[in-house]
Amino acid sequence: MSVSTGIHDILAIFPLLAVFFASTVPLLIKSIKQKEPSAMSTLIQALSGVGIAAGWILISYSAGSLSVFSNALIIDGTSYPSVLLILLATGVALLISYENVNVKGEHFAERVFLILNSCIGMMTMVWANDLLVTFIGLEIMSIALYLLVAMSHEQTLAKEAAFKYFIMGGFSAAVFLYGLAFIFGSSGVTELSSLKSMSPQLLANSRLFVLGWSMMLVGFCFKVSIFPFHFWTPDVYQGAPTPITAFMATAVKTASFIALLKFILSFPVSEAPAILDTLQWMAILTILVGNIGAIMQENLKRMLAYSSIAHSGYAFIALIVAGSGSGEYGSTSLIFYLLTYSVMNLGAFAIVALFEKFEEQSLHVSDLKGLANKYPYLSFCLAIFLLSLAGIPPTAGFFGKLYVFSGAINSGFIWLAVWGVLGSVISVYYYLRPIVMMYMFDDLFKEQAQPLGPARVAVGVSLVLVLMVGLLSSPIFMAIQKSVKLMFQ
Amino acid sequence: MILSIIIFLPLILGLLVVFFTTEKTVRPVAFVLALLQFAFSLCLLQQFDPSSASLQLVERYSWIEPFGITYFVGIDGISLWLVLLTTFLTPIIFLGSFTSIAKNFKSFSVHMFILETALVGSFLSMDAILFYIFFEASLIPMYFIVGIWGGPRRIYATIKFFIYTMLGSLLMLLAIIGMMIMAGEQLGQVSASLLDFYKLQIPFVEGTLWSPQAMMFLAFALAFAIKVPLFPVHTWLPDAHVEAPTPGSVILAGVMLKLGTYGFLRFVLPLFPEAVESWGCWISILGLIGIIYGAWVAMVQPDIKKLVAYSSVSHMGYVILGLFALNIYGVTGAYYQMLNHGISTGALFLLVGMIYERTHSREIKEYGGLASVMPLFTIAFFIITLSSIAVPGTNGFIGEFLILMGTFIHSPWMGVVAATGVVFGAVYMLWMFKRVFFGEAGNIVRHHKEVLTDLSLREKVVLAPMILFAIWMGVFPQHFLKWSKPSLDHFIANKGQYHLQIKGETE
Repeated sequence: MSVSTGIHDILAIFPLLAVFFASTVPLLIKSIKQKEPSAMSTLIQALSGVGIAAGWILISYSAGSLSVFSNALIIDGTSYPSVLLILLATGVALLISYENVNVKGEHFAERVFLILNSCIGMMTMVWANDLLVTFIGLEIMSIALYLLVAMSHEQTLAKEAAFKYFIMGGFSAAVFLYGLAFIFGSSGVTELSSLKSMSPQLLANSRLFVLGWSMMLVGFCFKVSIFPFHFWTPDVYQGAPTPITAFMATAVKTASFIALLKFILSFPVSEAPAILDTLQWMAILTILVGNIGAIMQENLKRMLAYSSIAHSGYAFIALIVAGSGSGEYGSTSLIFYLLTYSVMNLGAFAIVALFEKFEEQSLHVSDLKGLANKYPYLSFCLAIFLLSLAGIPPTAGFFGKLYVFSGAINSGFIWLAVWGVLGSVISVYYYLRPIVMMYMFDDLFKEQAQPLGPARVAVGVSLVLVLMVGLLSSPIFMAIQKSVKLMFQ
Repeated sequence: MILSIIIFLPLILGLLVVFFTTEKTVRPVAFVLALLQFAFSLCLLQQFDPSSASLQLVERYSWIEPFGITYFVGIDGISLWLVLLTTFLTPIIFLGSFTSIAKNFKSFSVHMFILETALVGSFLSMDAILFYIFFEASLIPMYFIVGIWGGPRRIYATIKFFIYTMLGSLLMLLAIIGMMIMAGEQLGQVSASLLDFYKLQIPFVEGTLWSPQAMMFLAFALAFAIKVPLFPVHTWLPDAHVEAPTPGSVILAGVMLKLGTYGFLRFVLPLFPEAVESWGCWISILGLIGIIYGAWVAMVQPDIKKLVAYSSVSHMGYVILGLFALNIYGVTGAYYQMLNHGISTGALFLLVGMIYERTHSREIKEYGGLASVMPLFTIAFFIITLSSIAVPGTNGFIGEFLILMGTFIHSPWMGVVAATGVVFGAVYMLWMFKRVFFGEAGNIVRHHKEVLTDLSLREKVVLAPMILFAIWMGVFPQHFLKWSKPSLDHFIANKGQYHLQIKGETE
């Protein structure tokens, strides 16, 4: 096997390099100047890196599937929209991070470095064609996140969260690798494209392969918090600094789901009824656990954490649809769902971040009393985000669910769709509570919103996207579909 | 264009109110704008061809192509009067709430305009997903109207209302998706258009609920039964009505409940003929239970508003009964009764609101002898009461008479039971009327006579059109029904294989 790296490989992963260089610039400036660079210039440098990467992807969109570094990475149809989404989420998370209470003007350059490197890990994961490369991407992403969660100045919850995340993450990575070893042992390959052609035969002949596959699935399910591997999510999301929570809930989840999608597509799920049934139960239970858990939460961040578990369940439905025959439609609806889910969550977390005064102080649902009297625009935005999360038309969230449920019904998973909508009905209760607090009391809101321009920009961007993805869902859906088609030709 | 303008004009008017009024000027401005919208909607009568049963003034643009979802609006004899009812009630509600909405009138009027858009949009959409979007979107402004301007238990009531309705409508969404996929299989193209849905042959197996048609029938019926509301899923209604501010109750009873019965007429009956044939009698029975139960519960209510709310349950039971009689008398009567109920119950809620504003009490036992101090109010209340209990010469009579006639033809024993409901209806209304207006002067009349001023000019203007229509519709039903007759005739003539054509297009 000869390893040859040509200029076309470098050009193909240019977005990754752009993000990497952008991540080092603030650190270099800091070490040369020997003092903290201004946060605004750091933010602009980081965002320009993200912007260049996104621009490059938009330009190279039409290039089709590229196989680079001797098939280690394949830049295919699913990756174009999903990398764009990851970059968008990263950009918005950077905006929220700017001057956030957790930063306090310290170590902003380091945070930016970590966020962008985590983003590099995600891109690697999404592009990976080799399960080992997937693992490397997963670890680059995760290690940066462990640090980011731990960098909070808050002493109890954040440290607990970081430690929990680290231990659980390490454990799941071990399970993942162990499974990978079984797969390699039984098939002799780690490349997804080769596995895809071998797996029907392996499924019939090798129990070891199925065991290895299932263990890797567990590793992925941990990352996207699917029941019963979701237990870390509420604690970590609550304890982490809010911008990092926003980042984890959107970009990390998107990348992990896309990597999981590629993994599932390499395996003939529909030929293994036991696995298909298990996956369906996992989706249903994730939806129920997330939604029922969220009902009881007072802490807004924790509530959003449980809601994000429930949304993982809905995305998992799209994944099952993709895995069981209708790969093209399933992948498209999964990416579209992740897009809607990300934009509304980013908006909601940006607003939560705006009302945090100290790191120790966490925003409770009842703290929102009378917010609309003092901050009508922010309340309006939060109300739209919450209604969208609940899936009320004509917001983005409704169309995300519509497409996922259409896929499920079309593939014959009617009960999955029924449980999905029952979960949505439960979710209406807790999504409406903050709206009740904001609008239906005469009390005056006591706190002041932080005067953070970029975070407000983040809110505005998310609002525009939620409304736009809602009303113009058709062209966006078709663009994703067109791109995904490249992969299934 | 005219239909789109009627749907979206209120939204634009709402924006105008946001940007160009202050809390001081907003009341008259909102009223005048709503009146303009009503005047504009009257153009429909001039554009609409009453001799045709087909869909008219159609607008159709592609929207979400991969799923065949279109922006498709059209009007026929069935939606015509419901749209006009909505645009007619909105200015009246604005005028009627000048004093009852004490705070944030601006925000209130924006919610009302959004609600008007959503309601008119639901009546005019001919695409199932578009309908669903308007149907759901109408919840949000209503949720805020009850939650912000409502009574002490408003939050409980408004969340209950929201979740109840969501539950039904989400299952309906799944059924809609199922039909879209079925359209793809049977017609070769995925489509959400109602006209295509009417062409589908949905598999049905007699005697089991597990066939696709029976399950879709259940999903749709549940969504609309909650909205109507049909016994036993009516429990959100008394709460919502009691806690809602007067204008909220009026639009809720006047128009929103009609979304449910309209849904039965537009979706359930024509789409699932076999399922309606075999399971429809159970819905009729639920309607019947609703009639009697609503009347009995209304009889013992100590609170006037709650009494009117339960009377709604009873009246809407008649509408369901008429629809499921599936003959021309029943359906025509049910359709007419939808409009009547909008007028008479809307007016009753306005009247209850007027007296509540003066005394801040809705307890029947606090009143008594009101006729002596408020003669005009008494007369207005009496006329509306007559209309509500279907005395000949008022609109209620025509509707209930046709419904009973249709029911007797369909099933005589149901007709007998329903007819006793008419008696109970007279009992609770007249008994309430007697206790409030006559007899010994009650607590309020004796001690707080100073607040009991008779109707003001504004209130007279609010009530006059309602009373006028109550009598006009009772004496000259043909003035109204002739517009809808071709559509209703077409509906009955083609039950079993209902189809609808766009006017000017031939098959």
